[in-house]
Amino acid sequence: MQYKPENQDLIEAIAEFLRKDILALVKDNDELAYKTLVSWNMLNVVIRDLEKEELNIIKELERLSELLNLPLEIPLTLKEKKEKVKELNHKLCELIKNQKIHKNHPIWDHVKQTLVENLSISNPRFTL
Amino acid sequence: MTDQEFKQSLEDWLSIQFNKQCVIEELKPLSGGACQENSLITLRFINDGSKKRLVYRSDKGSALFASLPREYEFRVAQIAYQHGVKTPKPYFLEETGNITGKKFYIMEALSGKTDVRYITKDASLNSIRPKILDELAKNLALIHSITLESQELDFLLKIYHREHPFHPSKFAIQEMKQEIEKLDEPHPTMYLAINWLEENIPSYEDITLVHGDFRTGNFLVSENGLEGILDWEFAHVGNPYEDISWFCLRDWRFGQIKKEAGGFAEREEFYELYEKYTNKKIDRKSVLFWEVMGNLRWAVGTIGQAERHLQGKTRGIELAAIGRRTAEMEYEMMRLIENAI
Repeated sequence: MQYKPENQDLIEAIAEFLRKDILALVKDNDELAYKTLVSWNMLNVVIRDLEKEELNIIKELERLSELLNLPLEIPLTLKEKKEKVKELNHKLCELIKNQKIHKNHPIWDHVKQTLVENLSISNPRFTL
Repeated sequence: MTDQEFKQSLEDWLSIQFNKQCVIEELKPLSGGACQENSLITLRFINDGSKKRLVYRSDKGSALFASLPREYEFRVAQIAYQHGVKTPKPYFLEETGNITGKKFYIMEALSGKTDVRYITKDASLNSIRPKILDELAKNLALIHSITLESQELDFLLKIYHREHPFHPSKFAIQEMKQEIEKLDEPHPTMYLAINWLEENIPSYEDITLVHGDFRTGNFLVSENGLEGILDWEFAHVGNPYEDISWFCLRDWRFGQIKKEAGGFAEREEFYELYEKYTNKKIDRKSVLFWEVMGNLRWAVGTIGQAERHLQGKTRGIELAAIGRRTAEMEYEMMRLIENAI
């Protein structure tokens, strides 16, 4: 077991360092300032991801199992959960392709909901 | 090749091309361009001391899907320039790779900025934006006036293995299906979009030169208006609506989402101007088809950009970060389809 600070706290500290110290140093260099801001932004994505990813994957697995008519399986580790959700999404793609799924269908609503969850991590400022 | 050798080699070559002795006074890398290396050259001619500002443009090493090699990009820029499109004058092409180690071409350096924040938000441009929009519509109409009739675009058909007559929209769907199948991660949204696109293929399509990346960020702008249209690397023969919708794509509004034309003007104003210069009515259904397609293409493009980082071809946080933006284009695709009548 690792001692404190937790991953999230460490990443927050790096993000603060980039935003407060580094950005001030490189503000006259457009390219470096831009890359610093992108880096800071990505660290914030990672912070949100650490917080929400696993729960979002569980929700996605639940919806996918229902839509694909499969028994719900929630693997133990995060890595296995990711593999499972990828496998089910491949199945979903095949179904969309073969059955020509369109809007006004539960699959459409699920896919959109998954995007909303994705965006809440990758870009919460994205106007829905 | 050291920087000094590079400069010397280029200087000697330029002296031959201009047929008079010249020295490179300054060689400065320009930012921007994910696939190219651009450098600004200040050249001084020995005989009369006159100066010329030029741009050196070469490949960066890892090309993006559907991007043109430099020699073809040069030819497209030449054609556009000859047709009166406001774009930097293309001077010389070097396609052996013997001079600097890469194929490159030399073009005129224009003034102005491509900075998207400047173009969409800077108060100094407030009174000039209507003029910029007008000039963009006029130039886009000029680009789209270049058709297959004159045969000067035949080489573009050949490199993309297209035979005339062809249906750009059907071709694009086919192309995207292949790209999606190649992706490692499953993207259900993309398959939903393909289903919609296949049911909404435009019944009639003009075929013209298409810039392929006609958007804010690829235009040089100053307080005098539009200075020039850049980046012909995605030029191809296709449907003119590809450019019209691409210019209005949500991601190219750079946060000014209500300003649907390039993030600085109303979409309807742009349509009116384009209609004035082409004498053709904008077909809203065609715009919608190509706007969904544009978002799909850019969604796939973002994955490609991130892959360049992940595979180590071109490492960089800005490329890596783009991979986490795919969902934005996917959401916009779904929104457009939901709102379609």
